[in-house]
Amino acid sequence: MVIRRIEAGNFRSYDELVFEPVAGLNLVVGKNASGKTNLLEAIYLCAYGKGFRGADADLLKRGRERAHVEANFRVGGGVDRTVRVELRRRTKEIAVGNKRLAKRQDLVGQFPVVLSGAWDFDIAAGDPKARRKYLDGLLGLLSPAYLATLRDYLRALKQRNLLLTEMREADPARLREKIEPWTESLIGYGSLLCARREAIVGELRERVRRYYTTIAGADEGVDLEYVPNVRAVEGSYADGLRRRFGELFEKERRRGLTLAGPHLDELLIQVGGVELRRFGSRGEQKTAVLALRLAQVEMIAEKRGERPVLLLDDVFSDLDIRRAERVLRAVGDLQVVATSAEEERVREVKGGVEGIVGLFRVEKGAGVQEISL
Amino acid sequence: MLYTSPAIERAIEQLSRLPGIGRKSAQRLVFYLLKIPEEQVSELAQSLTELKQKVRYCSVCFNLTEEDPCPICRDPARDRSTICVVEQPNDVLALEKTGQYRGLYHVLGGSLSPLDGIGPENLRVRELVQRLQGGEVREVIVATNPNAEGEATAIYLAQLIKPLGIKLSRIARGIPVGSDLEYADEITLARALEGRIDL
Repeated sequence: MVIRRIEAGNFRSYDELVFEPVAGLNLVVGKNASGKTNLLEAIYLCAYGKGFRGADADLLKRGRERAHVEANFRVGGGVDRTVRVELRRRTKEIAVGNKRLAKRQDLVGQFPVVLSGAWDFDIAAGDPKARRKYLDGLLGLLSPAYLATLRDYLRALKQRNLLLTEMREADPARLREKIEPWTESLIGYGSLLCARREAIVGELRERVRRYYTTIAGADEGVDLEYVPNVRAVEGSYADGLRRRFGELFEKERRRGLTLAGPHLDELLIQVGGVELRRFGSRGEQKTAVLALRLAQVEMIAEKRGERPVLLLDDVFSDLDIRRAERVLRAVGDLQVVATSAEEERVREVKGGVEGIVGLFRVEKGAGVQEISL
Repeated sequence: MLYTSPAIERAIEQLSRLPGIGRKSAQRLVFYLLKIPEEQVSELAQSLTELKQKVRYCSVCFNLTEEDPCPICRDPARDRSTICVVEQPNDVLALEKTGQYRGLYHVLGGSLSPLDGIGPENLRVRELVQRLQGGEVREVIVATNPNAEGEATAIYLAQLIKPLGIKLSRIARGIPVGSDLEYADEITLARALEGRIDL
């Protein structure tokens, strides 16, 4: 898939925005707070139906009542499709072509876009939540049913937690009976989630290693391991979860909280045999994050038969020039939109990249202009 | 803004209590009602009053009806050995439209949801168990919604009904009609396998 055109009005810092990227690598430079990240967010909005920072209302330019963003995508087979998002202070409408979507979830996955930025450091250095989110994001783009199952799981979890809190003083036998349907739901949905996560990590491992080696210029032994909060029993996550909930009942009752399940899973990332989160340098963490994102792009391209568009925010920070070049070469002929505040470095890197390259400048109040290479 | 006519104000007030209708929509409706012929308005008012006077829950299946028991429960042609359990009267309508189901219904009036303060005691569960104890029913089909609450409700009902020795089934979820197996994703396939049927 490629983005042919993005057009927006009253969106974030822009009065008007028109961006017609090239089919290959798009390098977008601009000073801090000029609107580079907002440009990426406009694209993201048309792929996911929401921004990646804050609430929907924040997407409107300050003081405006309505905004819109429209994206023209050319999908596999050369078909052009348009996504239009209309924003008001409290409402939002999403349409694909002439068809208005009933819910945002119907959009997710139709137009695969993968985003990476400084916040991705959480995947490498933050708590497990960011790593689960990475896995869920990948699985969600591969299968809407996965996202639906995850939603149902989290909903059942919330229901069960409420009963555990509210019935802390109640008779234990009565509590057990009350939470039973929700426990069984968690087992049913949860075992599906675990099985998919385990399978996807297995498929990611070699790819991440390959991309890491490409970017770093050497094989530093990066490795991924899925660490489920509750292990399978004889290959069955359902049996594992059922047994664990049985063991934990008293403890859960006292704490008033669900204490096990895939919402507590971990994706362990190691480099050279040590945990990246605790012992990795910032350079290693950045390299690992980019390798994870590139592996994600590759998997979606393979499994969906549709190559995603890759958005890289502030791509050259924490990356030396050689690694930066290797990242841009590793993406091959994907469409990439990469932003940076460092124009000199961008011009330097650009020299080492083959294929179609476009250079753009964002200036506050002036939108996006193509500039000469 | 308040209107010079208390009648207008009262009508707006009443209409804006309805779900999905804010004050602005209520105003629009009121001005529309003022424009149309009086008979039409009377008819509307009468139909609303009748709604409350005539429509009630069937004392057997708890579907909405004007006659008790409801036409479905009284229909001698329907198979009395099968009960399909649904959440809402709307669901009965949807199933009836298929023309495929000839048994009886039981409307729970919702699904389990502690977050909304709904437990088994707020649903027509006790009434369902009573119906099953008559000995006439041989199969129960659980057709609650395929979301977290509907699933939990189905699980709850299963635990309740299984000891009674009645055949229990859940409507299938899985591969959408008209789609190919090779394009179904793993989760959908896994769920479909879970809900497989004997041939």
